[in-house]
Amino acid sequence: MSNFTIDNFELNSQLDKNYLESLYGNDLSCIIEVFESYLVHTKSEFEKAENDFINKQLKELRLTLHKMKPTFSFVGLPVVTSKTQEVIELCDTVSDFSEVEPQCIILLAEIKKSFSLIEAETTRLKNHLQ
Amino acid sequence: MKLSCIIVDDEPTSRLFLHKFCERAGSYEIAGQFDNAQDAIAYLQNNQADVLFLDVEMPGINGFEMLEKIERSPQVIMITSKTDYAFTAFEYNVTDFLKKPVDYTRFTKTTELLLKAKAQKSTTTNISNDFFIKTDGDLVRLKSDDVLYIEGMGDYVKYVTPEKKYIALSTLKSVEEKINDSIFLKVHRSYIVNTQKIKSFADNQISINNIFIPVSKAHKATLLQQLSR
Repeated sequence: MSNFTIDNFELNSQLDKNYLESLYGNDLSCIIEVFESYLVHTKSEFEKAENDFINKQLKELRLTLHKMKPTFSFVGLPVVTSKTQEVIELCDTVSDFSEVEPQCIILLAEIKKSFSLIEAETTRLKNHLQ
Repeated sequence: MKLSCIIVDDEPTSRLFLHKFCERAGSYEIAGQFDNAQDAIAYLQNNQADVLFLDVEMPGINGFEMLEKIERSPQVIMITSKTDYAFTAFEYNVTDFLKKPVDYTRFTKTTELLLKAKAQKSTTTNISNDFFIKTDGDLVRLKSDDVLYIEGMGDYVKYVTPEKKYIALSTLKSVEEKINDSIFLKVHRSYIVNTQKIKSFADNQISINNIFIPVSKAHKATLLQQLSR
């Protein structure tokens, strides 16, 4: 059996299977619920983060990233949580937005990419359980 | 034995995540979920819960500010992604502190703690009917039956008996956590009364030994329930 399998479902290798298993056990329907919540709520916060970034609002961006941070781990992307924490810490130390801009661009791109990944995985999970 | 709990976190997926953990543990009944502290405070004014799962950083009132405002606190499990808050959390006498994202194995340990605490609370008689207080440098034994009421005065509490008044360095909140709750009942932000000494209740006031003690709206229902037993 593949290393990326939970309950006979082969997860996308970009997701941390061991981490997801530690959170949800073999409960694939629970994973679907959390993924769907992520696609609604974290996506909504992401739009806010993009606006904060465009408007160069450092304090607001930091707050939005803080709110989103744990949700990446919930969907098996703890690495994104760590990267978000790094950017948050950088926001805490700088006074000018330009000092965090490059890192924010990279992070926001990575978060954006996660939505299509999780969306695809949700569809596959639902098909698997049918 | 199940633990009734409420979840307070402004982030919906975090609330869902914790809800799922509670379901998986099988030891919880989720009584409510709130995305802000204000609504949770209002809920706790009229309802009881064994456990409060509480985020720290929320818009408006944060987790610590919420703990300052609730009068009768359930066991508190603080859940946050910032470990910096751990020290402050324990200053607020929280039962446990969990770092987001919560690990399920760690969560089961918290559940065991909570169940143990609840079991102990229901089997003990809360230090029998006597308790000790420290007043004027002395340790004084008071019998529950002698105490008419207890009044909170900031960092001090006053224990009133028919013969004497004792002032001790304590808060009403910490007295409430230790006192025999089959005899004593909080009727106001600043008063805990010995229900066996109540002579009458009218016009939102209790009469004990010809002393009138106010009853707040938040505590009236519980008092009436107690008196009708």
